[in-house]
Amino acid sequence: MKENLKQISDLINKQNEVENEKKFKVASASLVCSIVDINSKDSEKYCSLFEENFNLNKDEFQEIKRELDKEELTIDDKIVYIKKELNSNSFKIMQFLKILNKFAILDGCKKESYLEFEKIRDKFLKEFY
Amino acid sequence: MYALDISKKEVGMRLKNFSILYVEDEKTTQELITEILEASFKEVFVASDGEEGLSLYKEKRPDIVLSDIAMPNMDGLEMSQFIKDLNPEQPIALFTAFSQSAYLKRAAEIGVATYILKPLEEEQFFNSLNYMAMELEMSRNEVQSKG
Repeated sequence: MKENLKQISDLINKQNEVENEKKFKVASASLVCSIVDINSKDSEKYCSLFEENFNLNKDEFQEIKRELDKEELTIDDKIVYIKKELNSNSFKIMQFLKILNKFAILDGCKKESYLEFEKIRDKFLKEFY
Repeated sequence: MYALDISKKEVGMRLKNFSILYVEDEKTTQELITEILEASFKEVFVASDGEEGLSLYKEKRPDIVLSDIAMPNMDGLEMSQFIKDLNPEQPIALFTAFSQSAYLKRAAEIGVATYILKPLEEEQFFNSLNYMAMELEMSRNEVQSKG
């Protein structure tokens, strides 16, 4: 699993052309959180994996959690933001979705996680289908 | 289980560029899904269990593999493992009702990243296949641009 996460974080960290790298990472990571459910019993594990692999320290991770708790940004808002940062480029969007897909099945494929991934995937791709 | 009449539905042209191997042991389901796939894909290869599916895979090298999990002789997971050993990049989708977590954990470990819901839902089915086709287009474009 660690090897998978390394590949995922490498891909995310390659998105260095985006306007605000940290904001992009936070938005990306919060989408991942909506898929893997950070409030589950596995949350500790995911916290440390984020810290280890996303170059997001504990404070930044807390920021993501606060953002999720406040719910000021909806999933649709985050998708719009990430798409904009990726210039609505289908190649970059597909790379990004591959990362989310890997997270959705990282710890075995749970129905809720997978269906949440699909919901996000289809929102990203509706104009490309 | 698959009470769906989508054979006449217009689907995107993207799938017409790809071939698919479909593996299913239950005859009625196999016939229905095959009809839908034939209306959408360039070529459709059909097998009735994992053993036959693997043999057909080696012969035809389809772009996408779509398979049931529980089948006689060789199940969909074992077949997927053999196929991934031959080609780690092979896109594979498995039908699942998400009821057997042990199967799904193994499927994820094998590297299966796409799942088709049972009972079949039209939008989920085609969106998942289109997503796999887009992934294939992307990796082929990447290879071309590097070449």
